[in-house]
Amino acid sequence: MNRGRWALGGLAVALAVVMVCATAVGTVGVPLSATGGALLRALGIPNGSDPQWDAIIVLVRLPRVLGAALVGAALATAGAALQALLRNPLADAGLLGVSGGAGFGAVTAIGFGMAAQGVWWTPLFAVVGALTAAALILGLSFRAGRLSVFTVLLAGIAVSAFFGAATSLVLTFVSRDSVLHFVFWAMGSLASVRWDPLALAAGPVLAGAAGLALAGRHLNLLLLGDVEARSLGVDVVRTRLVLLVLVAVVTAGAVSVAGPVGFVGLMVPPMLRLLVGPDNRLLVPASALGGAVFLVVCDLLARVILPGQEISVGIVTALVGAPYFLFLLLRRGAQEGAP
Amino acid sequence: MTPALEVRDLGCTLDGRPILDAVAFSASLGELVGVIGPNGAGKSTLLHALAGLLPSTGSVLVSGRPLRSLSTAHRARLMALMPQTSPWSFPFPAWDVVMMGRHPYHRSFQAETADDRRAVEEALALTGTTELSRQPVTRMSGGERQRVLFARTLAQETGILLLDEPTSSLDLSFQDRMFSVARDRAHGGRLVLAAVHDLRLAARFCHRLVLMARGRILAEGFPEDVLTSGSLREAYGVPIEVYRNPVTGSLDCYVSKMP
Repeated sequence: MNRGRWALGGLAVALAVVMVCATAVGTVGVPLSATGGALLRALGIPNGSDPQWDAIIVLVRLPRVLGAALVGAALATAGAALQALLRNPLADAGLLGVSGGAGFGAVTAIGFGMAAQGVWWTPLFAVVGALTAAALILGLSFRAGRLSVFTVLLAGIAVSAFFGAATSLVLTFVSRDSVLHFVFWAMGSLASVRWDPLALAAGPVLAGAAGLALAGRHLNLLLLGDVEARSLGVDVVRTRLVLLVLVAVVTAGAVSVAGPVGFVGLMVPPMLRLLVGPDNRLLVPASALGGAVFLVVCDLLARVILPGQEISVGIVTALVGAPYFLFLLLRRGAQEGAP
Repeated sequence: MTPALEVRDLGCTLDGRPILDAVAFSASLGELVGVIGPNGAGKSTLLHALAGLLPSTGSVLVSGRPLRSLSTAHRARLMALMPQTSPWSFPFPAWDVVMMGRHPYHRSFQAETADDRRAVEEALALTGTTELSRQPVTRMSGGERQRVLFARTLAQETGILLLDEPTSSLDLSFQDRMFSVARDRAHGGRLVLAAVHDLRLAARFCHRLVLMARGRILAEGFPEDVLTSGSLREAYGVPIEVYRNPVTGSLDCYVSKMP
């Protein structure tokens, strides 16, 4: 437990450091002192630094960095919780159909011209699509008072495929510009994060993530399997349903901010499991901090890795995450194969 | 006095197949009751149904209160089930697994108390797993895991303990030790109901036996009355001789010849 506290403290410090660095660094070079001054002024503390950078720092970079932290924390928390709920250390919130549903929502908003009317429409449609898909999957899996993990997985595949096909269908009929717009949305990007949509998403995402972080003991008990959890007094079906709904809400909120950014929930919790162990009372909060650090760094890389050209953060997370995921799989395979 | 457990006309059907049929018996605090019978007799199903983990018909009264009227959490404070196996795939240390036995006493976000730690330490000591408490359960042998599971059941500190073949993976010395612990718990005023395969262990440690076959109770009573050639032959379908072992002084049995 002590090691865990150190890990949490270390991750919190790391998050503060990378957030300040990510705010200072970008295509326009802003001196670190000016960044600090602008941040302090934004908090209402007057100081003597040069205010000419304030707009860039406060209106563009700060929401983007906070957005990266929020999305990273949300996806990693949801991933850690889902891995406990499905009793599989390599599960991802995409299995709940959230990405597929969000994609359909987004393509609808983009394809029918709503996206051009304001910044609200794409995230709003994405959330509705994501929650509809998750509700469908949970509704299909919840029968006769039972909620089988296996059915959740299979229903997830079917519902995701259905929404994927619906998305392709819409793309067939919309303009080239809309297709391009959707393709960039689907890569996952933090480039267009602004204060208002971010603030709206932050409430439910933080509330949901806090709920998951506080449910660590219940997640641990669910890991034991249905029979043991029930004999230890856990109302398995209700607990699982509540937690799956929280996972869906948190993930949907994240997708509404940045689009479907992959691999965060898949790689951050397993990585931290090596550091803090399997106890979800530590792992879920550690994943929140670790996911935030990871995505802030990935977004920074996405902005600066190519001179004069920004790439989608989803590309960076996939380029980093896919090899690491394979490494985890092979490592697990080697352990299972060992005598 | 109201019996701690009273079972009336208990039936259970799984996938359209009747597993338990008109099972009726009662048991009181202070007893160690062994449930014996051949494979597929319904022993495990009986324990799971008594723990409220399976849909069943008929009635189960826990200290006079219908089992169905109890919430999951309340039930877990009255009775603990030790399953036969544990599909543990996450490397929790034994301490954490045993501490999970204290869950029924915790409010949602309450921290562990000194009382919880005392219960866990005591359970680890009784099952000889104190030295294993920091070790991940995924790296333990089957017998070590079974002792950790027993420790967690003890840490739950319920009035009724339902043990499903608690010593199936244990060596000779731990078999004795675990049954001694179970009998001590009974003498301490609890009811222990254990499914047992080993008839010799059942004869030596249990106060009473319930003999099951094909989902029904064939015989019930003191070991001397239940462990007879006649009833065992009926239950197991092979001729079984029962005798008093001159060395241990308790009942022993063997299959006399295959039919």
